[in-house]
Amino acid sequence: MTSRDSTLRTQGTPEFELLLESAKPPIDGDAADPFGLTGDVDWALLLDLAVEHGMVPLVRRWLEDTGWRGVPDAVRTWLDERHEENRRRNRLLTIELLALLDRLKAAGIEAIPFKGPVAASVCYGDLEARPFGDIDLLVAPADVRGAMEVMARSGYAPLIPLSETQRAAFLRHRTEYPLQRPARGGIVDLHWELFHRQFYFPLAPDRSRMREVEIAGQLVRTMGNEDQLLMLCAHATKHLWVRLEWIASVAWLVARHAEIDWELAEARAGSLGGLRMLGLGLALAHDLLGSRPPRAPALAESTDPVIAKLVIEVVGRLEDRSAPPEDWLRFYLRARERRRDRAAILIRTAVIPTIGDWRMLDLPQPLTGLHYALRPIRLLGRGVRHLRSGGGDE
Amino acid sequence: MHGPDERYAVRGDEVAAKSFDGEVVVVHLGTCTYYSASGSGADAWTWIEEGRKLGDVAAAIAERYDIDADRARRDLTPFVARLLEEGLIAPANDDGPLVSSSPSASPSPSIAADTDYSPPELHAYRDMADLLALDPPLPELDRPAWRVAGDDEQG
Repeated sequence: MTSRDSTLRTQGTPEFELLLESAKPPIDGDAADPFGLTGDVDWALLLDLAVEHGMVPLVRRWLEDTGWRGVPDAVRTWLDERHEENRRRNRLLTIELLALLDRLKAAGIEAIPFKGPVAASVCYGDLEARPFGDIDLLVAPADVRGAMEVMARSGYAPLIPLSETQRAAFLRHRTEYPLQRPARGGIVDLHWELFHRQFYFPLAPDRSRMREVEIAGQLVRTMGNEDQLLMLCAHATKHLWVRLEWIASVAWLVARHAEIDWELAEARAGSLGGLRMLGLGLALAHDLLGSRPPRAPALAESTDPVIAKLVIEVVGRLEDRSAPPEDWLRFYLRARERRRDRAAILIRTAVIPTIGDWRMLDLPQPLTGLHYALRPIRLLGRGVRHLRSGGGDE
Repeated sequence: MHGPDERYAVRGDEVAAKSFDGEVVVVHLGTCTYYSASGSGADAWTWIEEGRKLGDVAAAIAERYDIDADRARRDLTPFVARLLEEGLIAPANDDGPLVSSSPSASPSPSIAADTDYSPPELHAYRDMADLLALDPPLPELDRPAWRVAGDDEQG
């Protein structure tokens, strides 16, 4: 992370400024509106932004803490309604998660929940502070089939319509599998790796640093704060940091957990080639939300110019509401500091079949490896079609 | 009222419940229905879940809210009938619960003893599947490939 003494100066529309204020971790319990931000707000725009950025709960909480000063009744009513929906959705998913963890545990399978209720509890200490729409569980690769059997007995069915052959290949080559009950409850993403292989960030929870977090009165075992931080930064990078709430999660995690072992976090990130992603997340949290800089030598003193450029790019996109770039691959590459990781991303993107590839051709079991050969051909075909249709460079 | 000696058990195969800030939330996983009970309803659920006899549940409510025992019994009857109707509980054997619920970490009923009494009620929300499908809206890139009609390189 670059050393910066002051926060980044944004273009500063009232709506974006209010969004930023509500994303900041509270300081000394002061939740006043010192800037009179609610005065010139285009409320419809603010609500649109809050939805886009997963910030509805935090915006509502901030306005409530400031006494709803200057907030039109209709806006308050809308926020209250969304708050109630968010509370019900999050509680339902939390209950579903806890029930599933119990059943997996009873079958001797350790599942580590991440994102969703865990991130809400660890980062904000509040299940309702962020919206979540599904359940993410990580199991050891050897436990995937067992976990799927437990889930099948609990009424879950795979969401991806694949043949048996495709499914076997899918489990070998992919890193997660979505399941859901027929009544359309929460989607459970059953992971055996945290990130898809094209992204190439082989973070696995450090067993020696696992921690427990209390969720709805139940202790749940999840990854340590350092891994949590790395996971949040990598996940947001995977999605090009298009949501302010992801930056808020980082800022709140840092603010609420002074016990974070920064040297360990830095060492973990460095060994996995994720130092720049971590630095980017911390820089965004610092520059936009005033998060304190980390007490880790390399992160605090880094002058990595790429991080500064990525910060400007991300913030610009957040502010002007521009669509995420189609060339996400370029962002992935720039967000990685090691040449070998960039090469791995390129190679994997070129050869690892996507779901579309699996679906396009249902090859018999002995021939599923051909998907790897067909993937580059398919990509080439798409490129040619794109050029013929007058598209720009990808 | 259902017999005072009757006991019921949560249908743990399909039902899970937790307490949040004094509100008991019950989810029927099979139908994706969300139920909420607070006040005396939260107390009643917690005590039923513990396997207490209905007569004991009514007596405990009467004591906690300082109301007449007959009134507590009368009010409990439709609540229990509703729980049965919704498939959230089932009669328990004499030896113990038919099906133990998932550990709900059910707190001792959390409502203060001097809280104003109102009959136990169960609120049902049957729109959860729609709520989960529609909200929160996610940026395009956050949509996993299986939720996108065509191909998706994000994996």
